[in-house]
Amino acid sequence: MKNRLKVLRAERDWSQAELAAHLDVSRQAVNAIETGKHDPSLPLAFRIARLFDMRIEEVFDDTPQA
Amino acid sequence: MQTEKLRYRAFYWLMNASFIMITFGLVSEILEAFTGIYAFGMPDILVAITVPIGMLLATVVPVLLLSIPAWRDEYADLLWKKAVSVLVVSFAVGPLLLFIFFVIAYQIIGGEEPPEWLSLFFDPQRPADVLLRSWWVFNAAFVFIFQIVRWRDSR
Repeated sequence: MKNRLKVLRAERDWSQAELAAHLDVSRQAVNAIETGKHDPSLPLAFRIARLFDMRIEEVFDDTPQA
Repeated sequence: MQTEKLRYRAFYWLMNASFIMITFGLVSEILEAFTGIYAFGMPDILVAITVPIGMLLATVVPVLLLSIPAWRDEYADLLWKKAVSVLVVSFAVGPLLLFIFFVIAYQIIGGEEPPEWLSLFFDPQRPADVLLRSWWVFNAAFVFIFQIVRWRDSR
């Protein structure tokens, strides 16, 4: 699933470790989500959306890839 | 500046340290079996320091990594689940395949007594030794499989 996490993080000038601290996950988890290797659980997706004051669908894009 | 929780970082640090020490231990055992050189020929003082630390990282730490859920966030938990599912199948199938391999190998080789490399399998072992070895292999296999799963997931 595509997402805007890397862009949103960069806009706030946060490192992956800093974002991980905000979300209470590991840096490896942030990296896996950013690179699309791991789809976050629903609770984590909500935490991400709340942190950036956005709706989940504004952060994550689940439209099928062509 | 906020940083990620120490326990999540510790999980990966300890996993890496365990993996390195298990690998060193295996290489050291193979080297010793073939050349008789113990612990890479390190000086006694260095052996006295590194071996206990290495033993701790290669035996006790994998048990903690395997059994403490609080050290894992959801991504580490996902890798853990993948690794454990491979581990379970490996331990269900692996011993049977090894048994078949050794029996067929002995049938092909023949003779009154199995050759030395096969005697390890056919010689009777004390249950305590088998138990201890199985325990160590199980935990070491978990660390190896976890690292392979992690590496594959990062590609």
